[in-house]
Amino acid sequence: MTKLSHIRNFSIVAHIDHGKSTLADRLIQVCGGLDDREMRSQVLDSMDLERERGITIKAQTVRLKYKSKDGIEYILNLVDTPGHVDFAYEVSRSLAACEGSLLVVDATQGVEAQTLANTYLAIDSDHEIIPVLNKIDLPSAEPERIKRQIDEVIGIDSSNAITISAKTGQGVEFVLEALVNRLPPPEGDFNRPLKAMLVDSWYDSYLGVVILLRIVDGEITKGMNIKMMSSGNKHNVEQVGIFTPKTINVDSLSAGEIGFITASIKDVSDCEVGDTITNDKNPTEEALPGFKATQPVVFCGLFPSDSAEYERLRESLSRLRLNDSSFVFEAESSPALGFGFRCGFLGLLHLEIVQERLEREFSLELVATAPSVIYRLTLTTGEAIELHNPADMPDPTRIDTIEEPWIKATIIVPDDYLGPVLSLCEEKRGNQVELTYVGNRAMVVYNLPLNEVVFDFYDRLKSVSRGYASFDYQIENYQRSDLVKLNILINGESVDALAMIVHRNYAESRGRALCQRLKGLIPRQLFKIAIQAAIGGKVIARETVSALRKDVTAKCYGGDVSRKRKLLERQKRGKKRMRQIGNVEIPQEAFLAALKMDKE
Amino acid sequence: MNKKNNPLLQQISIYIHWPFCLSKCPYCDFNSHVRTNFDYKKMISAYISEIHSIKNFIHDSPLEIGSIFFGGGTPSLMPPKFVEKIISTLERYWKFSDKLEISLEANPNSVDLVKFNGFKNAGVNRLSLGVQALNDKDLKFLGRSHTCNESLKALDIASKIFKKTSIDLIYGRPKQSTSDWELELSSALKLPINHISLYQLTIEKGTQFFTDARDKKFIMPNENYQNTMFNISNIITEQAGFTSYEISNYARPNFTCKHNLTYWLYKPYIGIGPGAHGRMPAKDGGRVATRMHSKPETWLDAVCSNGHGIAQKSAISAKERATEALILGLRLTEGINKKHFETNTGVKFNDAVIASEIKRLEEKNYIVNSEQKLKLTKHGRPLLNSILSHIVAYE
Ligand SMILES: Nc1nc2c(ncn2[C@@H]2O[C@H](COP(=O)(O)OP(=O)(O)OP(=O)(O)O)[C@@H](O)[C@H]2O)c(=O)[nH]1
Ligand SMILES: C[S@@+](CC[C@H](N)C(=O)[O-])C[C@H]1O[C@@H](n2cnc3c(N)ncnc32)[C@H](O)[C@@H]1O
Ligand code: SF4
Ligand SMILES: [Mg+2]
Repeated sequence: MTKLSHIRNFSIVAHIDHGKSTLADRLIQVCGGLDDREMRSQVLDSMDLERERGITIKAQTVRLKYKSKDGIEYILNLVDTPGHVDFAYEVSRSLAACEGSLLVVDATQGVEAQTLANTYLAIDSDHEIIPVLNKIDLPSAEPERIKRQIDEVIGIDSSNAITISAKTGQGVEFVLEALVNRLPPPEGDFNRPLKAMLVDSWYDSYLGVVILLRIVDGEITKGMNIKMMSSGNKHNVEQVGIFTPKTINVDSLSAGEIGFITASIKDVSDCEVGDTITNDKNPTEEALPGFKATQPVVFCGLFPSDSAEYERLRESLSRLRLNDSSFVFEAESSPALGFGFRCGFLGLLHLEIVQERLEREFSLELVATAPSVIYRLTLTTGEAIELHNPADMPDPTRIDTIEEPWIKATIIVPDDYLGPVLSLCEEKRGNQVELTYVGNRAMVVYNLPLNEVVFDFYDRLKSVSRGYASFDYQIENYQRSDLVKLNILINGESVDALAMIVHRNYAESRGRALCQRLKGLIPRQLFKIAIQAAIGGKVIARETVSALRKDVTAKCYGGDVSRKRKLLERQKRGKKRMRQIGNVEIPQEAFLAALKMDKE
Repeated sequence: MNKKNNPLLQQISIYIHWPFCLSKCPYCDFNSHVRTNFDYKKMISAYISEIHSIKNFIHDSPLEIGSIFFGGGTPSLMPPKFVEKIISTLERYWKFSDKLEISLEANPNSVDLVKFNGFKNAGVNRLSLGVQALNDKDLKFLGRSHTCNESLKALDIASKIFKKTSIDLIYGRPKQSTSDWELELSSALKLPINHISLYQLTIEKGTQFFTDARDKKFIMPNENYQNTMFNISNIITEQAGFTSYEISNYARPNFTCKHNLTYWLYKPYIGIGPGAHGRMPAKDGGRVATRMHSKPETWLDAVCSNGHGIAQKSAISAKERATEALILGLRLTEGINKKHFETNTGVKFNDAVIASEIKRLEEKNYIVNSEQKLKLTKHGRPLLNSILSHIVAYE
């Protein structure tokens, strides 16, 4: 048992790429958690995908030993967190396990949208916040100016901010001293019954289901019978351990400490994040408040390119969910794309990451339909339904009202690009809430329909601001809106996979663009192909792919036939990957490109 | 030559490839090579020894030669003595059908009266002349080294020597209007010929025209235009008494090219010479595909050391045979005779095609399907490739 006064639990929060993971590396190194041979950059980003994209997706914890200038050896529990808005829930629960935060700000860039968002989360968790200005090794670093920004924009005192380079290690010792001197030790009572917060859980192929815990009161030991307070389920603790970041078994974890246990738990779903774990024999009276459950906000259909892979896709989705309970899926069948799954995600990056993990870790080839949000419909019968899939939209005559989700978006952008950013927000049906200037940068707050954001907002924002705008949002509310379902028909048959819900004012232009796009993507065939966009029964855009006239090979003699046969065989195999809509064959690539429309 | 046709004998055709040309035409992707110094003398013994080796590869059921075709390249560059030697060698190994057709391809600028007579005496009885165009401007564009007059002169001589004469024309040239083609074809059909091949100009990968077309040095007529020219060709030839019996081939009654019909009917044939392909009969009734080395030097070396220039020899599976027979057979106006198809390929016709697609395309008037036959309609013929991709069952 470690004395509470010798423990410090802290998170590192920052905007994406401001250097959290690199600072974690330095802290681990200085404290000797890993020797030079074992060290590599962003060592805590263990997933291939994290390493490749250079971003943190899963929060990670490490216990460090630090001998401070006062001669005392402290236990530091570091929780590295992801910076991206889609993973904000990972940030909040990590914060709940700690008493303080290092707020890392890139001294060359300054305060960005997620700096703000994550700082507010830390303030909400009653954290003591230590501002850290990073990357001062770079010539473009302006620590003084950025300090003023922190004062003005975030409103926290930056006078004793620490300036460091996580890359070179300069200033890192001051960070360690500040952690010890400026952060409060955890509170808690070793003598009370066990009360522990379930911070995270995941499936590890060696250890099985692993639970990350923050002990609030009491002690957890190997062999103890524990109870999950929300479900009442009981388990026997098999292993108790910590990450240094190497996995090390210990006998017990006690009040104030962070570590993991395993307890032959089969299902991650039995490990609800935020749940309270207690000693079955000697339970605590009251549970911790817990977290708000995460709700998927963006949905799309995922279909295997090869229909024979459907079962494998199901298994892979279940396997992935073991480590990421924040996405949901259910079986879906589409006349155009066959059997697949409707999946819900925390945001577009989350969607992209899950899709990429499926393709990479499970070697699946996927077709993804356009992302959509959840609409709330009230039918004329008075019945209320939630719509996750545009294809399921009831006939307009049966609908009384439609509501769509709105977000409150915060965008920070250099004022050179403010104009285009404002017109983009207006074009996306946004309402301005606030506009403030900080030096040569502007902070704009807009209410925007999420529907427009998932359509192409990110890419457009990136291009109009040349990548200089940062963006963060939270779901605000649902509002009534004049939305219609835009159907794409090919030779009169509606293609469910291309259906989308759009604001009436945009239906025509979107419809026209999609028809034109498809015209360029569908190769000419024996029959004329009509491509139409329609709202209900009304056609609002139309294109035609004319029929082929002549394709016969002029000359075909002895030698040509092998070549011709191989070509035909290849063509036949390619057809398997075509999607048949009525009598029209649409190459899968055409579908993919049409669905990706928002990307170009 | 043997006197009687034995109906039990399996007929076979022989293709002889001569790979040399005086110059390379910019549209041509055939196995043709321009050589200034080449040891031609070695060639003749190589052809003889390759024929000998191939004869030993073929199982020993009795065969009869129905046709021989000297193609190229420019086989009219061959000394008539070579042609004679090859024909007599073939006759030593196999029976000749008494209806034996021996064709030879000629370029208008590599022939004269003496040579034509030499070919005739060697046994050639059908001559196909590469006329390509009937105006000098287009001949120049096509990179041909002869004039229109030279073509007409050569044809005049040929027609006096050979009972069967044919010419090749290329249409769908850049800037060629449909009425240009109408006039040109009409006058071609008045020439002393009883067969004509009309090929739509095709831009093949690896040719000079491919790069030129890509670099927009000329613009190819669009598909609609080409299709109109194709339709015009069919009408005009018919008016002149020629029957369109294959996509690009037209003949007066009884003058179809017996040799090329072997390909389209998927009958066996042997290919001799650089780059020649063969579909030889196999013991089980199937086919063995052969392909010779293309480069004359490589081929010659191979023949010197192995007796033959085979680069690849492989059995063709029943399914592959079926697909090949469909690809070739549907080019014929007559279509495919299902019974013949089954004897030639060993595959049930209905297994080789997708019934639902056949039905659908029949309803749309692209094909006609009867108990005995499957053929394309007039409407379907120019779309053979797409139709095949719908109906062929095997992949
Ligand atoms: N020059 C310099 N580069 C740094 C410094 N700290 C981090 N970087 C670089 O900045 C980039 C982002 O660093 P990370 O540590 O991955 O950032 P992060 O905040 O963990 O990013 P997310 O996990 O994606 O939110 C990397 O290329 C680092 O090498 C520094 O002090 N100086
Ligand atoms: C390979 S040549 C051999 C005959 C001879 N060397 C000649 O050129 O006349 C046979 C015929 O194929 C046709 N041909 C060759 N390449 C072609 C192409 N790219 N497009 C259309 N026809 C072509 C020509 O009409 C030519 O007469
Ligand atoms: S002469 Fe005939 S074979 Fe030779 S290059 Fe020209 S088209 Fe080809
Ligand atoms: Mg990171």
